[in-house]
Amino acid sequence: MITIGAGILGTGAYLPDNVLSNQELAEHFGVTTDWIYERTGIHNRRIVAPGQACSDLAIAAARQALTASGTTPDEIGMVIMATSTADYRMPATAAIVQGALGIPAAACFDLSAACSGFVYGLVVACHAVSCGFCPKVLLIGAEVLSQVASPADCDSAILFGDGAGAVVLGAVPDGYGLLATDAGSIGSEHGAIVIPAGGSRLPASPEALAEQLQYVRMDGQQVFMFAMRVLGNSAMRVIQKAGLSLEDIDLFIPHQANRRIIEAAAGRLDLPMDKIVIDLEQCGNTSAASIPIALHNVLHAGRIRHGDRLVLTGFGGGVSWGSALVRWHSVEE
Amino acid sequence: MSTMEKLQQLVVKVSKGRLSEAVLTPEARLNEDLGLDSLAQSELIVLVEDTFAITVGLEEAAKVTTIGGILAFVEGTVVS
Repeated sequence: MITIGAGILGTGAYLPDNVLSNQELAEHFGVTTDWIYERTGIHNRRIVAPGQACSDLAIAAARQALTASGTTPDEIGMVIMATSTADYRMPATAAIVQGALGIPAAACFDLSAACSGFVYGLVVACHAVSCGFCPKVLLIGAEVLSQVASPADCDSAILFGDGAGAVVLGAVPDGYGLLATDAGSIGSEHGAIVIPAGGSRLPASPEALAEQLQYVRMDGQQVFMFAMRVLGNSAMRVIQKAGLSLEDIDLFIPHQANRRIIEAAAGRLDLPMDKIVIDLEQCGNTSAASIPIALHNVLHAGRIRHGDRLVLTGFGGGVSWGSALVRWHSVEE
Repeated sequence: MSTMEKLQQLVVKVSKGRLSEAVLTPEARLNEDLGLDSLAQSELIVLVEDTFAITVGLEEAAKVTTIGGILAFVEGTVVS
């Protein structure tokens, strides 16, 4: 139970300049642009330039979050980087971000929970503030998924994009910030989404590359069914844990996996679509980055007001899920 | 409401109202006749599981290609 209020103080988001359109993908895979849009709800994805890495996107988003929250680098005591596409296997990309931003000594680590990573990071960050570990935490979700989407795999290529979203978390008045959480994993189904090669199970090798095992493999039907069930179930659990009802929630910000998944999950529980953020038409599925990017965009579009209650729900590889119920505290209040 | 009527309602919901119950005969094929793509079929499986309180494995789901096939699976599972 949180005893000292901790919440989001400011946000940032960064998308690389290069655009990968449905037109290009349709020509490459021999399908139509309508077919792609109908299956995904995506028109365009943003793709890194050659030489641009995960930390480059993260740093750009983090600078915005620091500015928006009025935070100086020396106030940050922890940097969490939620990603599945880190710059290196070691060291943590969070440390690279720390160095680039001039943040003094801070606990820096990467968090591997795929598309649930941002919500998991939010929980860790809020508790770090609540227990007095540090006054402020920089949490970033950033991905370069274009590098793990096989150019031969239509299902992956039409979904994934690159991008980063960041938030600074710190103390907020009682009754605001993180109110309740729900999270879990079903590890027995970890094979549903996997990048087979590059880890200790199957190190990178010429043989692995020849078999294209460095790319993400996904059982689309299994993932769709898991996501459809868990999105609504986890959101409802976190609302109940907070002692609230569906009507008390102002905005749902789910992981932007695929429009069809979000609509199916919402339809299953009769969740109101006008309260559900769908923000993937122009950037695709950016995994751990999708929730903070969507949060940043709706905040700047004026859809979040002081006191609003938001439910953020991530789901994906693991297979894993996580929900956070946040009562928004505007810095101006 | 019969099992078939409940099933028809679910298919209409998944089709976002595009399909009417009149075309949802036992012989109707999910993809070829009704135009339900793989994602819509996955959505239908989850709704069938919720509605009839059963579990449909992926292997079983792959074998079912018609409205009548789903009906037979549901009735067989619920009875057993």
